[in-house]
Amino acid sequence: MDACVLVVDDDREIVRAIALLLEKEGYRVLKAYDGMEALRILAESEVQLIIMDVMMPKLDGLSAMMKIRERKNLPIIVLSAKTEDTDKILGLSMGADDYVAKPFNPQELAARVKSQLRRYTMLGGIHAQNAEEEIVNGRLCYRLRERTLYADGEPLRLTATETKIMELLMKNRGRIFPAEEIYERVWEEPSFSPENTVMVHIRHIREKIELNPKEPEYIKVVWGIGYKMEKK
Amino acid sequence: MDTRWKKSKATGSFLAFAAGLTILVIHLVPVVSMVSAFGVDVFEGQTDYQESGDFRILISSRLSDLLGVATGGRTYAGYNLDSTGAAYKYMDESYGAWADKFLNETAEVQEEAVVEESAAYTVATLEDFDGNFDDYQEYLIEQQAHYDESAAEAGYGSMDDYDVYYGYGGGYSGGDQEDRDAYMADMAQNKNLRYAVIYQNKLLYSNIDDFADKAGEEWKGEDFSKSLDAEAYNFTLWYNRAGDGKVQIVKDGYEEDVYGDGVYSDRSRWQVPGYANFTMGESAKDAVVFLAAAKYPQLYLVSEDGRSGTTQYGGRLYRMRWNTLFLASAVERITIFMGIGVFLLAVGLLMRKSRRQAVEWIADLLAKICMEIKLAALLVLTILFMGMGGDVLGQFVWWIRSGLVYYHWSGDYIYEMKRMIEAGGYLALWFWLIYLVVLDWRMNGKRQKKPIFDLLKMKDLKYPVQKRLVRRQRNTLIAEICLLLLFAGAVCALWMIQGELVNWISGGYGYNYAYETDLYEAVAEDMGYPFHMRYAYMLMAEVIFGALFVFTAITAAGLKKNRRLAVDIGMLTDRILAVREGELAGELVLSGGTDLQEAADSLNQIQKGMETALAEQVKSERMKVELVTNVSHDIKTPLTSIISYVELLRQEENLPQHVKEYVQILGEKSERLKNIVQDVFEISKAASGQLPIQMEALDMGKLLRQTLADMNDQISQSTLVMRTVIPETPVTVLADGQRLYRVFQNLLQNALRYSLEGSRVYLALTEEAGQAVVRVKNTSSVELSDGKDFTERFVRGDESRTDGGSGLGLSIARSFTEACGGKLTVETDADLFTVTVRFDRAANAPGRGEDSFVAAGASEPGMTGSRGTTTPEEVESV
Repeated sequence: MDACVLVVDDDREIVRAIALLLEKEGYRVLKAYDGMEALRILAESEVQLIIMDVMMPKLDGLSAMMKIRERKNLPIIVLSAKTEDTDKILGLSMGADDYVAKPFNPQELAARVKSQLRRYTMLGGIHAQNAEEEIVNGRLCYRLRERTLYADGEPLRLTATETKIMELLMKNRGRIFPAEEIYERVWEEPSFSPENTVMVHIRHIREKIELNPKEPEYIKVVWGIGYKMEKK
Repeated sequence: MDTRWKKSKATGSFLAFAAGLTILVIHLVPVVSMVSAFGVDVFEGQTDYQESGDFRILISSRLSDLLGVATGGRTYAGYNLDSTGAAYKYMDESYGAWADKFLNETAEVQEEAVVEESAAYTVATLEDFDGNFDDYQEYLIEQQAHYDESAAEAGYGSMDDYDVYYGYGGGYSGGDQEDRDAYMADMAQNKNLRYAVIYQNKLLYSNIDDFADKAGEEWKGEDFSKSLDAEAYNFTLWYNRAGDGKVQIVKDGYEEDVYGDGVYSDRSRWQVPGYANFTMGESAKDAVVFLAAAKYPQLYLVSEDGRSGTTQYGGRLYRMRWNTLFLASAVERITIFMGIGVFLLAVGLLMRKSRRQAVEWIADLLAKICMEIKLAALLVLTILFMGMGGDVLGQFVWWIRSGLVYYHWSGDYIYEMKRMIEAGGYLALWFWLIYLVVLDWRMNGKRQKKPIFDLLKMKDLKYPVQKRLVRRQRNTLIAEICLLLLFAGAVCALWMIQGELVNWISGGYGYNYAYETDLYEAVAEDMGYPFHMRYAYMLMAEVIFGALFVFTAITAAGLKKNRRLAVDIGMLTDRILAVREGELAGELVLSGGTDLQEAADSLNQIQKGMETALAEQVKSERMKVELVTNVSHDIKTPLTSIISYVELLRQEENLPQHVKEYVQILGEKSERLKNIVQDVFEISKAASGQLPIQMEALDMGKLLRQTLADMNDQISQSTLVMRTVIPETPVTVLADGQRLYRVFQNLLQNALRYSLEGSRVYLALTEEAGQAVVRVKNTSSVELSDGKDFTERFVRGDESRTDGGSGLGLSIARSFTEACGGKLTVETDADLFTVTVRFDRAANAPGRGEDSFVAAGASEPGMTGSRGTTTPEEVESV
């Protein structure tokens, strides 16, 4: 695994820490400390993924990203100390593939790098099978015939109940299911106090499919109403 | 029983008070009138009419008449005769009493002036005893002549008719024999007064039965009283019986001391000749007169042929007696009534407390009646009283000013007495009416019910202030104009009635006008209402009219001026309202030069000040948020490095065990620091109202169950037991689910963190008065100090701050709850820690706009209903 990752941040210590972490994971790491430098390195070297801070001197992250996007399609993970939802949305809409708030969990960042690279390098090449046979939602892909859930192209080991829940949710992405309905449709018997049972299973699923199970991106609780699979 | 006694006591005391006061007020008029007319002597209760001054005047005037007849002089007797009907009667009958009073009054003035000279008071000049008396006589004569003249001119029949009707004996006043005979013929009819007139020992006239036909015969010194029943005629008078020119009076068999000290003065009882200073003329020395008065006078009536009506004789003595008796009994009755009245009043006044109680009841009763009804009743009663007893006051003044005396010895005195009582009754009614009005005004000032006035006021309040002011002033103007027109109408009516206007319109001063004016003058003057006074009244009316007109004009002019002021006031109030509503831009500009310029300027300044203050506040709020944002950003950047390098350290394999433990601690603490920074950031946003909130209808019960399920691991890892009471039926509220989850997550974490080990945590959802109420109760592991607000930032039960919390949990919970429109309160009772979250219940079922979902009840598989969905409502909390 010799994918090359460009880490851009004006804080040299952070760049170094990220580089060390990623190098341990087996990636090749290039470092830049502002937007201009990042653009120059990009022009010179072959880079598969960029991790970039937003607030930087000379050229800030968002402007640099726009310039990069003019020519390249590689995945970009944006780092920012701003955690406002609007900042997140702005970053993603300007071309970022992922957004990680500072202070981040290093392992989560590594997982996200891995996920992005896998999708960029592998899934990009895999041709979609019959559209009827699989349901794709972001990093996730559920193959109906196999009854298997794939994350970043890798099959996940789910239990039978977890698979049933995922099939229901993947088929009805965006729809909110009350716990009772999930219970009745998965267990096929009337529910009695289903909240705990359903929640336990969902927590287990999250640990398998989410990069950071504490801040789930896919299976979300709609508080006071039910659960849903976020449409990506 | 006790209250009943108190009640009757109060009623009784007030009734006594009211009755006593009423009786006193009613009798005030007769008492004042009588005392004013007769003096306090009236209360002696004299029953013998012969003891009155009036009787003595009558007798002495008769004596002078008879002496005049005897000596062949003038009589003037026509006015002293007690014959005939109404008009005459008043003049004649009242004269005596009038004279009596007049004498008394002049006597007081002339007390010192003793007449020393024995001036030649002759019978013929007796009537001249006072100038005023003479005037009075002359006035009567002139008036008679005037009437006769006017009547003749108007063709109102002959003098004879008047003679009969009025009984004017114009012919008597002559000095010839014929007059004297006619006079004596009339006088003979009055059997109450027996007489005998002797001149030069010849009997001229007598109406004593034994001597009536012996006129012209010689008098041999017979005692006439022997021929009369001494019981029936208990009063006898001899003049010059012994030839000494003196008067001898015997009453009830006893001779009276006529002359006293022998000198005549105004204080003397008898005004008869024989005093040292009151002697008779030469011619009268040959005359002897006998007079006898009946003890019980009667009326002697003669129905005369060829003349309309009945002639009455002897009425004067008859009425004199009866009125004396009546007055005596009236005085007695009035005294008794007054006594009762005073007693009752005293009783009422003494039972002050009970009376006050009753007065309060009456006030309560009055308060229950609306003001409008009371005013209407007052108006009606006033008009009624004006109509019925309006002249009471004038009459009262008339009675007091000795008017009563004119009726004193007439038969109408009984009627007059009744009128006085009636007047007293009206006075009492007035009194009580005023009493009630004053009582109502004093006791019920604020609690008056006035629905119509209130309605008008409410209606009035609906108008903007400037319109209200103008309306009020316009109403005043309208009222004034109405008053002006009314007054003008009244003046016109007055003129019309006076006949002047009619004449003026119909062509001026013809014969009729002259006659009418003449007659008016006569009548007006007769009524004691001088003709020229009318012009004075008219002038007064015109002056009032003019003043009213000027006043109205001033009001009209003021209205125009004030309209501008009212507009300015309106603008000012509108502006104040606008400022209150938060509109701070714009300046108030008035029409200029008005009284309100200063107020407007002040308001403008206040407005500017507020604008500046508000701008500064907004600015400082924004700066605060910016500060927190920047600080948290500046903390986050180094924190990122710390966390990253801790992670790198953790991945180092060759570290000794104790270093690995250090790294573990570093990792935990940096994680906690990260959480604190996150919390501070969120709470500062919530506090400054910049927290985005997405409101939706959700089931509070479900939210709690989800939260519990989400935190299941933490709960089961703790030593605590969770006791939950959550109803199965949805309890819908409107809130931001994500924020509300944080609220309960914080509350539960709080409970888990600070509860006594092994104790129970209670979570209950209930509905109270349309509100969804969630209570989290737990037993604190540390002692809770009273009076601590746990929802304040960085406040915690344990002061040592060594636990894992940020001290912001409850603060965040409260901020988020309030941002969602709910209310969070914390109560502590000993170690029991209770957090209560309240939300108003929403009518809608839980739902979310963009996503369709199946409500809990619809369990049919595959059904993708959209029941109960709502459009999301994004509310930026302020």
